[in-house]
Amino acid sequence: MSVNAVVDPNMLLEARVLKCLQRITTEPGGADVVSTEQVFTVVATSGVVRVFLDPQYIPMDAMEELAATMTPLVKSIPGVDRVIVKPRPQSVQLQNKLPGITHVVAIHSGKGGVGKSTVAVNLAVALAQQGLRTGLLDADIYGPSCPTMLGIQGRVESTADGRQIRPQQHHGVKIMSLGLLLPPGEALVWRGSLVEQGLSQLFADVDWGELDMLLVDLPPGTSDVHLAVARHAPLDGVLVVTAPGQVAVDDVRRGLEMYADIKVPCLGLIENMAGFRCRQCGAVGHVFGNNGGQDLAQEIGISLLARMPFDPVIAAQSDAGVPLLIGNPQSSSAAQFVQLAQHLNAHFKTVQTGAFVQ
Amino acid sequence: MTTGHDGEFPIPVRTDTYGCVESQPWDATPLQPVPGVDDIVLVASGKGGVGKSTVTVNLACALAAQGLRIGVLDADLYGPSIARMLGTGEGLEHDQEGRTIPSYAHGVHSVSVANLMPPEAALVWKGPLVAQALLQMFREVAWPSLDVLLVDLPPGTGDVQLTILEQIPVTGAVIVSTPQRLALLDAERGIAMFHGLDIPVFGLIENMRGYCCPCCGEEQPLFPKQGLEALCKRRHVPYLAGIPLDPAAQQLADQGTPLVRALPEAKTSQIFNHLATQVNQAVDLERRAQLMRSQQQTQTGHEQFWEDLLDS
Repeated sequence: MSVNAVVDPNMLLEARVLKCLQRITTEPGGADVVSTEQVFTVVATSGVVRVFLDPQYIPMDAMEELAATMTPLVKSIPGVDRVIVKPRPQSVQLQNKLPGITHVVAIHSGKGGVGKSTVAVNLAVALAQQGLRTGLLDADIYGPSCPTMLGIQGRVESTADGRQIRPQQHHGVKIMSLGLLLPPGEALVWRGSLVEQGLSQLFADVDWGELDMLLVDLPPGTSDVHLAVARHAPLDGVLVVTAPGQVAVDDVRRGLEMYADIKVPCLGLIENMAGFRCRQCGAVGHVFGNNGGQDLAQEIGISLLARMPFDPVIAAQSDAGVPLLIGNPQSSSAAQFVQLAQHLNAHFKTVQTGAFVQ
Repeated sequence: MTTGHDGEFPIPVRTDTYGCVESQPWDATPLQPVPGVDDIVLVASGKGGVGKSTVTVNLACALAAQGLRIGVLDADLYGPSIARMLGTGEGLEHDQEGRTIPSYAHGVHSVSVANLMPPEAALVWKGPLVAQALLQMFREVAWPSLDVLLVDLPPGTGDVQLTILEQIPVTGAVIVSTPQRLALLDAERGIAMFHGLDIPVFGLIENMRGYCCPCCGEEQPLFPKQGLEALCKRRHVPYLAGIPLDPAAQQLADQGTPLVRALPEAKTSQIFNHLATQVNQAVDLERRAQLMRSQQQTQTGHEQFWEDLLDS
């Protein structure tokens, strides 16, 4: 950056907020909250200001009161639309490594039915085709669809010693899903308390073996399941799938906020179902809204990795249980999955060698 | 019940609702009704993103247009979309007793978590919190007198569904599915859950049946047909409606105007109107059946019948 470069307006706003916060002290006559490091940092993104407090220096019960004092004060600064005061991001992860697994990447979306599982399955196959030892864990405990998409029937079996479950292997991908434990047509009823225990077992008690990459297909929303996954697996990041409509984008933002809070980086955004081409006249209709993913990526500064149109071929392949990359490798959608896999692969290579510092 | 595997299995899996949710015997004391609300109808789906919220919002508006007093409760705490689709803003008002007043738009009263928090606010809903928040939305909101309260459920069979089925007297449910096999499998799971708990399923709604090109009007399939009608027959559930995917509806939803209100003459709106009539009839029928059951006369009649039968 040259000296004459335009100063980022967000940075200016952050500085102004910090200056304003210096007027607050928690004890009469004491030092202000900024110099005592009670304020961890301030982040501004287009009008929304987040003030992160450091729980290390603030008693838990004083947090709310401090937030209540700060919010109106920060809000009165010109250029601030919304204020969020909360504890600084802290990782919830319980272990640093899963034995034998190099990278764990979660596929997330706030809204349901935007194509998480489709992306997860095809990405896994693409990664396997590129020579990586790949695993796929379907953590969508209430609507497991990976088995259907891969055309797997029947159930998984336990290993010879009976202590672990042997994942199924298809198209070079090791797959484990709760759908493989359930009889079809029956609903799984796992209350919140069971989720924690059950999910930890999906990581620990499944015989994954040596893996370069484990993809985790999450259920929609921001629930117990998401936290449990973040606790029991060291997530290298999340890939976020969204439809272009505003309704879907709203939900994605909630999800991103949650992952930011627990220090899991977002590896990028995938806009799925971006338009549908009429087979008759060729006109592209924006069936699920328009440009929402692109706008969001720009607004919050994460990269848009792919934009995929709604392709009836994918839907047909999914129902038939043949992943697109196997059944229709020549299609343009398949090429996009291959690219996505290459990108992910390259990303982790650069992170590992330290050549790429963000 | 755990899985049918022989011997020990490392991961315990429950599939039955029994024991998790108490199924009520027919003569049990009914659950405490929600004040002001006559009937509660759930809009459910197994799979996410099949259009539950879109169907809920348009069904609500169509029912309201037929003269019913309608409310919508957005029980999808993880991905609340009702507020965006009805165009209700943030912030809800309170009455003198401090109870929340539902927002009112397009002839429909509604409450959604999105009314209470901005989209950037992530709320991780843990199980017990979910139950508490939900029951508050039912019982501690100042609902006006309503004929029908539609409840937009989240996908799946999780805490939200269980809490509602346990604590709230539900008249019936409609299930939304897309034609694809993936969605059908999940829809069947949903039907199984409701039937297991003796909750009438009013019918199945097939959404995204085809794509209606705004340019040339050609309707073409988005998903391969996988026998939704067959599922209806198999599970003895009426097939209520087939709704095409209309790009106009999506745009309108993003802007906060339901299709039924904005383009009442459109083909899709007509389908929703027809759907509303059917749901109305089903609710009516169920209401009358419940009334019959609860009447003293019917009960003594039943007893008389059994006595006569045993005597003869």
